[in-house]
Amino acid sequence: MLSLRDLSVSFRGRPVLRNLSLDLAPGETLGLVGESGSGKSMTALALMGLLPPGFVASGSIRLDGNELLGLADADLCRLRGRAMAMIFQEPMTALNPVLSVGAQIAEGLVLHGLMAPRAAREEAIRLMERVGLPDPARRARSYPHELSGGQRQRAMIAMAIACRPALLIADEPTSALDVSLQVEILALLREIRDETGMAMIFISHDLSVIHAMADRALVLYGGLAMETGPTRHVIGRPSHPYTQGLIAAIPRGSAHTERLRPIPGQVPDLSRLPPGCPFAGRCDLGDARCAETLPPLRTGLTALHCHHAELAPA
Amino acid sequence: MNPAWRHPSFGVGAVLMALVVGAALLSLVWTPHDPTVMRIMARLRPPSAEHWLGTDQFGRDIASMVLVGARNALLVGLVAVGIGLVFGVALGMLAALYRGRLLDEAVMRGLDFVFAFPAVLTAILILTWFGPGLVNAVIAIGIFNIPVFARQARGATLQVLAQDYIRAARLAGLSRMAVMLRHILPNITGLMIVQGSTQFAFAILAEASLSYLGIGTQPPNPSWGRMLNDAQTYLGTAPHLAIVPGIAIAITVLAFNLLGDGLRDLLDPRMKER
Amino acid sequence: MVLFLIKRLVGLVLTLLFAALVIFLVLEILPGDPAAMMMGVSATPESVAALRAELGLDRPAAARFLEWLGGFFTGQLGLSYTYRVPVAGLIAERLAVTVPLSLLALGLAVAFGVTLGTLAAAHAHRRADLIIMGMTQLGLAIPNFWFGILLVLVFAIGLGWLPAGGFPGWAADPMLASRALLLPAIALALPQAASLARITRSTMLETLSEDYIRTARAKGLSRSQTIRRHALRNALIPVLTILGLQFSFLLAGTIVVENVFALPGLGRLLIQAIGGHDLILIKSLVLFYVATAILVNGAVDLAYGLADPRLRVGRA
Ligand SMILES: Nc1ncnc2c1ncn2[C@@H]1O[C@H](COP(=O)(O)OP(=O)(O)OP(=O)(O)O)[C@@H](O)[C@H]1O
Ligand SMILES: [Mg+2]
Repeated sequence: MLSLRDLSVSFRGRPVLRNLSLDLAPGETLGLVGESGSGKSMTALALMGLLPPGFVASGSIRLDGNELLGLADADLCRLRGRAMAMIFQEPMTALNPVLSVGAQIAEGLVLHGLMAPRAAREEAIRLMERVGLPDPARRARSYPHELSGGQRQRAMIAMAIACRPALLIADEPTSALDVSLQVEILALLREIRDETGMAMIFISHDLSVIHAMADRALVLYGGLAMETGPTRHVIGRPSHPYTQGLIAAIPRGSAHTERLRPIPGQVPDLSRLPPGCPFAGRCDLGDARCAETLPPLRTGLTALHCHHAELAPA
Repeated sequence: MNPAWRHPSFGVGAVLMALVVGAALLSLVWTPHDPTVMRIMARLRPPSAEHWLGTDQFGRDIASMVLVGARNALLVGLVAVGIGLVFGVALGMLAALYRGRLLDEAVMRGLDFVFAFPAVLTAILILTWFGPGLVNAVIAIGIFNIPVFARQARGATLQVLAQDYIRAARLAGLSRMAVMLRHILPNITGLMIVQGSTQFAFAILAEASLSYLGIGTQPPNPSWGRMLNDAQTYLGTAPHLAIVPGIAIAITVLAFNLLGDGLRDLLDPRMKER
Repeated sequence: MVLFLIKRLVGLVLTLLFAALVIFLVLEILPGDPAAMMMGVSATPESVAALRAELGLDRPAAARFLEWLGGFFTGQLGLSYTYRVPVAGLIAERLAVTVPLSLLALGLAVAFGVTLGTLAAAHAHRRADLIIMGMTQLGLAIPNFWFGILLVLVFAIGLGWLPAGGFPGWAADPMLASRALLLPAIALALPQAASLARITRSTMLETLSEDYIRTARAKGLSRSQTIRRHALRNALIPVLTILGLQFSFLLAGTIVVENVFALPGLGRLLIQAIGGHDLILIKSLVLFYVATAILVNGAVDLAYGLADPRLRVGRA
């Protein structure tokens, strides 16, 4: 249903995302994993057609066969919230402080012509009940500041699934929450996904969360897809030196809480990225060729961009 | 070329200000006619080769009066801003130094109070008491400027005081006064100049209003606001009297507003780094 | 919260009292002999003495002050020296001009200021923005009384559409009366609209960079729908606080503009009172202006709490 071909995003001539290709089937979940600044959010925003000013996307994004790139904003508006929806990273600031939670959930239903305002308000209460908000009839009249972080994220989820989108993009929906809440929200998202059969792009910097949520995983680094494949292979038998480094760096026992700080060296500044593999400077196998030419896509058990890695047999 | 000139507000503001200052300076040495000489035979003349902008109801040359008016306007701005700056900055720095204590509270409350009076009203109150006139009008406007500068100065001083090097300077034995003069004053000068530019514009507008009402500059001193008052009486027969003084006020106010805006951008540290 | 409100109210009342005290001091105590000041140099000692008696100046200042304050509640503010009619009646009569004029101007200023500021922010750094911002600079630079004169030149003297000045009174012909207020209101609104537009632009730009704007867009709202339904209210909350200060300027503006258009309002009354050295009238008028400015600022503070649910009282 969703198919990206050579999607690139740049900001003032600097690449932020390079030649990303992927396909997503209905009901499937893709886990997008990578360190901070690797371009995860920009990928999501490019899909939604909501890149901040100054960012330019090229390539192809097809949703149910329709090309999204280059579509007029008015046409994208019909798709946003209806065909594809998004949950944002920051539950504290992603809700409008001066509108009641119920009104914000109901808004999309009315906007896309699915319901009359009154019916939408009732549907909003049902949705709030579905996402596990206590006392939804009263909560619908509350304002965001009266909700806790977890409750706000539940409200965000209710808002995103209101119009039953075919694709849900969840950008680190649990990163701002503490661990026990994280587990609950992840369970909720899984339930809703299985119930509705929607496809999902789940973004996280936490491999264990990706492991719990995604059928397939895509490891992003410096705007380039390092390795992609079934989650269990990417995590269980990674071929790319970067992925291997990531997994080796997970501290045992507390994989949930630890942010990725895996590999020696710094995440490269995107403005001074080498023309070749962004990982070249930090990679054990890196050589002059790595820094100069973009490695081709090679496919084994997983698909990866690397000159050197030995592919695990499929 | 200095990058400052490329800032559009600053550039346009600077050019306009040069125009006004030029006119004021020119009027010191030369005007087409003597602006105070009345010629009853040549009343309310439209613009001509002899009188470029015509004459007023007493036959005085408008062009000359407008030129001399520039001097008046700049003087008003300078003095009114000067009063606001001197007292405002002193009070603001003092309040910041004794932050949270009685003195701070008293100063800031007092200034809030002055601020609660609409400016023109403060001026009217003062002019009622002291009698109308240019000097009193300027003092009145200056008084309104004090809280504006004081608030800014207090905020800026508090920011500077929070810096580590101030604490170091204090530990090194520098007295409060020395810290204020040597470290704080230079640091808040930029901000005060920006505010000064804006208040300059405000002062010129306020003086024009008061003079228009007849309680500011008194004849025979030349004032654009006063000229507009006279012009209104003859609006039907000599509309040209009402145009040029208004344009002169607008240009001068625009000049200082733009200059202030431009300076604010240029002094903004985020802009400086580029 | 209740405590906060009480504190605010007490502060307000104290400010008002203090304002009254200052006005009283400046106008009645500092001149030494107000009666002599009012009558000018040509007055005979007898007539000054008579006025002094009429004003009750022989009584202690504190008593006079309290009596004057009480007058604001009972309406006994004394007789105007120049008009020989009760001050309270004069003020009430003139309010019928000044209040509608201020409200009309405020309405115009808010409507134009907010619309233009929002438009400028929506087209930030593009041509429409530059044009609007240029216009606001002009609006701030043009003195409102001169703008009034220009309006009279064009619309009254030139085109003859609207009256050049004067006021026929509400009773005679309400239609004509409101037409008489139109040009003055426009003149009065110009600088207010300009500064409101600038403030709205900057708060709107700040609001448009908030996360919840992106959330609204992700829901499928168009840019303009997002601005109207999600950004405007948030952007206007800070504008509201400025509105109190703006009103002070507007009030001061009425004094000038009423004189441009010869409108029989409070401002013209004040200038006439000053011309006639009518201290009795002046002190009540000035306090009336100042009290209005202070009360409006106080009311705006409270309205701020109502507009922002985060500050609203009594919700769980
Ligand atoms: N407003 C912006 N202007 C310029 N560059 C930006 C901006 N926002 C993000 N970037 C750049 O785009 C790159 C990708 O950022 P993105 O937000 O997609 O990272 P991310 O993977 O989502 O990281 P995080 O885990 O911190 O959310 C970053 O390197 C960042 O430097
Ligand atoms: Mg992100």
